[in-house]
Amino acid sequence: MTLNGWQERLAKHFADLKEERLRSARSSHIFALEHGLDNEELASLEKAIGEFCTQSAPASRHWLAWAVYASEIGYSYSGDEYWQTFSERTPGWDKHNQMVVRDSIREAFYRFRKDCAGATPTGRWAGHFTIICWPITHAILPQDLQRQLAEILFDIRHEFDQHLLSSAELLGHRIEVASWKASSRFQQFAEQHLLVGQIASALLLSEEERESSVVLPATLKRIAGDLDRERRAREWLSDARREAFTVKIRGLGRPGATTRDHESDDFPNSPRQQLLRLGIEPSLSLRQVGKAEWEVRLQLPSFAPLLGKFPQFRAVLAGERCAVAGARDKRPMARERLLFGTQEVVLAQWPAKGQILLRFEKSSPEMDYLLHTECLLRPGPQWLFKVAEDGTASEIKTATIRPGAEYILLSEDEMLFYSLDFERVIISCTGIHGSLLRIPAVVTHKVTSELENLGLSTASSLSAWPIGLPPAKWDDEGNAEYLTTDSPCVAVSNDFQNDGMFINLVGSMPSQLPLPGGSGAAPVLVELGRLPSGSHELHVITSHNQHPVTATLHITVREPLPASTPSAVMSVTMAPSNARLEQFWDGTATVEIYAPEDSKISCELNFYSDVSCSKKTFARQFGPLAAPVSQSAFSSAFASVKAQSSVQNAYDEAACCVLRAWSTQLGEHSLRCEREPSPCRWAVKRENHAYWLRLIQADQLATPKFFTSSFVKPDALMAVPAALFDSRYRVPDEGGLFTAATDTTSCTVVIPPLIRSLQDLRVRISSGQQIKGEGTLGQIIRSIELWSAARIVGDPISASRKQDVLTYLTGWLVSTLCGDQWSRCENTVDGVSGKRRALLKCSDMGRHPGLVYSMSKMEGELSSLPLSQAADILTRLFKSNVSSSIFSLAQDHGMSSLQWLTEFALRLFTEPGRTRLWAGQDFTSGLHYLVSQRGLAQVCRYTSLSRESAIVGSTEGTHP
Amino acid sequence: MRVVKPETVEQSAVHSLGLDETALDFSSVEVLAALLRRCGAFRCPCSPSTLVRESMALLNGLRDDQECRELLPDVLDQLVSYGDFIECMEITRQSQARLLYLAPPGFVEVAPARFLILGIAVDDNQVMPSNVARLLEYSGHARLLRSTDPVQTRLALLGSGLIEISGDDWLRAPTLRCAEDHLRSYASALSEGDRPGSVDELTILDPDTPVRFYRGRWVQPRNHTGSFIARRPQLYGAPLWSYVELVNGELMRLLDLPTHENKWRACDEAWHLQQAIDATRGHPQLYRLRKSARPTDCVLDLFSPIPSWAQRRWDYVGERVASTGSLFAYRFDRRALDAELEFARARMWLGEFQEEGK
Repeated sequence: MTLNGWQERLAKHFADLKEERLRSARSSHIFALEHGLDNEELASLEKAIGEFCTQSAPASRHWLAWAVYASEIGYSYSGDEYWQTFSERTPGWDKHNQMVVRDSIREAFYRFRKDCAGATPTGRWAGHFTIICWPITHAILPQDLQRQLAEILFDIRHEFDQHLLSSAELLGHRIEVASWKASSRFQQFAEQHLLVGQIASALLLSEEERESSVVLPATLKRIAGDLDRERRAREWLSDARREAFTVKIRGLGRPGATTRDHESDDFPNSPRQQLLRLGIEPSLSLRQVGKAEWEVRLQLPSFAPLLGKFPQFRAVLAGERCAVAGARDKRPMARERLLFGTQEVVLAQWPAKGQILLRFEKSSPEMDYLLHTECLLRPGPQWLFKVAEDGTASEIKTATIRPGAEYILLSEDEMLFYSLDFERVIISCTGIHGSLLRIPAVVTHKVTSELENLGLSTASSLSAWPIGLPPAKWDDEGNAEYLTTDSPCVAVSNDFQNDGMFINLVGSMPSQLPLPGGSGAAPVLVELGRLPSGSHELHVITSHNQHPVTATLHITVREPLPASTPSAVMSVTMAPSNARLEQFWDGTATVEIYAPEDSKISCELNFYSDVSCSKKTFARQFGPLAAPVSQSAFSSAFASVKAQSSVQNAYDEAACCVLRAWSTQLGEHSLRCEREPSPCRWAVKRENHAYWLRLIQADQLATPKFFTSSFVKPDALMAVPAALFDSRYRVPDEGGLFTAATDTTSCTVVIPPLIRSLQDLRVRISSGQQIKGEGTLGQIIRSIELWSAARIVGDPISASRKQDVLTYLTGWLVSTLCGDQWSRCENTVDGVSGKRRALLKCSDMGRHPGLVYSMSKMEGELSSLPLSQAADILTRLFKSNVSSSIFSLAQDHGMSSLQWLTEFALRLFTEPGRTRLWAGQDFTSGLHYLVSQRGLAQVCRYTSLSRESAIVGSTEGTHP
Repeated sequence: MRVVKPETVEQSAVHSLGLDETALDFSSVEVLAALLRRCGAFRCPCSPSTLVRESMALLNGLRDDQECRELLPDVLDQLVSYGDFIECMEITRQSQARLLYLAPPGFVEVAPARFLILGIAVDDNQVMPSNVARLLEYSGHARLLRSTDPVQTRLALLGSGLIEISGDDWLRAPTLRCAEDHLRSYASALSEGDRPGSVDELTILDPDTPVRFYRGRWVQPRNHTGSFIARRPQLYGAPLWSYVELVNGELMRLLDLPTHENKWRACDEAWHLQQAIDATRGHPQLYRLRKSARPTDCVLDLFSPIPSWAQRRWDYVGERVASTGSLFAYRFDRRALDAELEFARARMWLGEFQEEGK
């Protein structure tokens, strides 16, 4: 068939599809992948496209054929090589003007959108990749993203209800929120809520229901079939489908399902109640460490549910370390640890009343407010803990005691007891006292009364426990969890004569069981039968001396986790968890491995040329490493691997890297990190004693301009003819910085020099600027921005040269703003305290002893608080110690002009590469004012140095 | 929802644990092992005592007899030795507590058509495909898979995500040496130990007592002099193992076991050391050979516990079977017997028990 024939056939198919969609009113969007062609027909279309393309550029009359063909290539998309794949699969494609033919593809999709009600790409990703976003969107779910979507659907499966599944927009939004640990491209893809939600809801439907799905059933079957090829994705998706199916069966008729978004008694939705449902309240437990000594442990629940309600907290929760109030281990918790299950922290000091337990390094006011209201210890003055046989004691939040049990009562003051059997115990946590209480089997009125005076109550003697088959959870306080595969049995007993008992199971499978009266000597065994997933309540109602006695067991039933869920005996963590390949390589992302002591953990680096990890280019094993592998142990082992030029070469070319860690008896874990997707990137290769550069562009919208800068004069940028980069470019032996820039985007890389002798290791950096002053400052800062954003290559000399240049340029900035004497002092005096003294001596600050004294008192806060808060403190110190009239020139930024200028200066010395972005249009004027305020610049520089030394000290380690 | 009798609860639980409820009940090692595995799948990491306590609580109102309850700690020991659980110090190093972790699902190919299945998946899921899982046999604490198509079975196990553990790794054992040298190394370590303070409720394994009654060998020290394997209670958790020097019943030195912190469990070192003590005193621990119901096999009765590395080997080569008049027993193919007797004599210094008149 010719392309005309294909066009005609596809036009009819899509016209029918559009009409059918309009008729059913199910969806207004159609995807080009819904072409309905089988493999043989697709091969035939590809042949026809190839034959046409060898003769002529794509013709607009074949727009449907091209849209379908481009979407097919999009379906196998796995990173930044879309056009390369296109070119490889399409004979004759390369001989046409690329800008024109690529634009014709986009035109084909514009037409598809207009004539066939085609889907439109949206979101940040679409704004970034303005051509290939079309074929990839119309590929529905490219293969490299399928597994990630399946994993996310599995993660959120317990949240499925009729409300969520009936709104594609809402489901898409929920998927985006849960995508915090997915690859950055998936995160960008997930911004298209409606599209992602439609795909997800379609994938969750059963085979029969696909007939009425929003996407052509054959297309969905194809995607599902591809997913089924991979075991883990299959497991995830099948569990998510099962959950969705359950919801559909029972959810349709469930009362209250539609009222979820409204205030009602059944579904209270006030902000406070929403927070309570998130379950982020910490809990306490005790562990015995000596004969009469106990330590206090704080259990911090996973904060991952918080992201569901407050996606804006992602930056803080995933990107910042956090300190725990009163923790014995003063090191902050590693980034993202709070998102991975419950964390336990030993307390050395009892938190003060109302003290926020968690403090993130750079928080937000909303997060602080939330932590202030929700992340506190329950108010005292007493805390009750039930002692278990294994030397632990867990907090009883209901303050209810049971006869015959042992409890530890913590209080801020020493307590007095009268009739209770008690023993003082040592609590290895300052600010709190403990007493061990032994409650008799029979509680007398006297004891009851004393307990009541202490604010404690005695429990009812109606009890229930699991029998036979172990439940997944049973907390002895009325909460149980079972699996859908279980048939739970519970024993119920009471120690009094009752007139009868009524057991009422409330939930999606309600049932009642009346029982005759009895003495309660033997327990009643009740089989509940298999229960569907969800919440159930078992009410036991009886009477004692004509007083009603009731007890409730809250039962949660869930699907079993996939069998492939890794065991906890070995855990490999990377912080941040979605680190980019560059972060992994340069050590800003850290890796730790926990496993039984002395286990031998082997590691392997696998590099791939595509982000879907189908084309392995290189693998290198290292280790075995002795567990536990700390951050420093891993980074030292990794450093020796990185030193190998073959590994560096593999890194430079790779789009993705998988770190595999395994032990023969503990199994294996893999961590994956990919390069940040960007419209263009440098592919670097070291070959024949030279570096070669090739620019890869996802969308060739504009011809880039090329510049280079040497290590000797890093602030001088020189143009390089674009023609040199038409094919591979051989980098001169002296290396340097190379950048390719269009109007909208740029990419920069630092290529190290070729080292032939020891002399080559040294570099004498100088500035192209002759005069230090406001005029040259802007150029220096631009150079800092360029160098700090530049990517390094595998060779460690690339990183060290980049650092040398940045140190030099920052030095220039410091000497211009703080003066030469200050600058010399910074460079010549070693040691933190020596430097501190010398700087104070040489600076204008010496004229204000009050300021110096106050700053030294506030040094802790100035070093640890977010920059804006540190600036706030500095401003207050200035106002109370120095005349501030000199700062009145600054504009009003909604805060005091002094405060703005202080924060500006602090940022300029702390993160000079990003200050322009923060200051926006005020950058130039800010710089202008700062040049004339040397004292302020010195104070801010001094503070930035303190912060640097504090960071160096704190990154010695984080606790797990 | 219905009221049921204890027998019904038991049958339902046995069925849910994946075992034959018509053949087994809570008095069998197979069911108790499955119960511990299921409980561990939900609780781990946790201490061994927590796991035993929680498993025992499930028998309240069902099996209140002590016999069944007393079996649980022993069965847990067997599961740890076998490799279903890994006992080690808390991996995050937040405490010195020794905890149980789930070993990931794996297998050891012990013969071309015989696989041992180890480890526990999260939620105690069945990892294997159902056609392979159907072939699973439960024998005491061990899970065996016999297959007529070992190549396909191996591929199916690997394809299901089970780790293949090589026989050499699984059968790792201490260096071969004579009982005297073994004893000497511990004597030397003990002599360097400090004199401890007073230890309450110390019990020792008296080497002068008959080696065929293990439980009867544990005594309170009276006027004992010499070096002994000892246990002392701790407030929470299982009693601690140690090697002690006594003079007239008074504690002079104490060496806490295990000395090789993470290689073997304390009880493994203690039992192996006791084997050396008994052998050097001329009263080696004993094994007894008897006929099996199968003419091609032979049963080896043992009267004292053996270290985990020996248990693993015999799980690998033989099968644990019901014992008569001994602590436990293994059945071996007669063709493998000579090698296993040599292993017992060379590695554990055991001697053969000859019944009178035979």
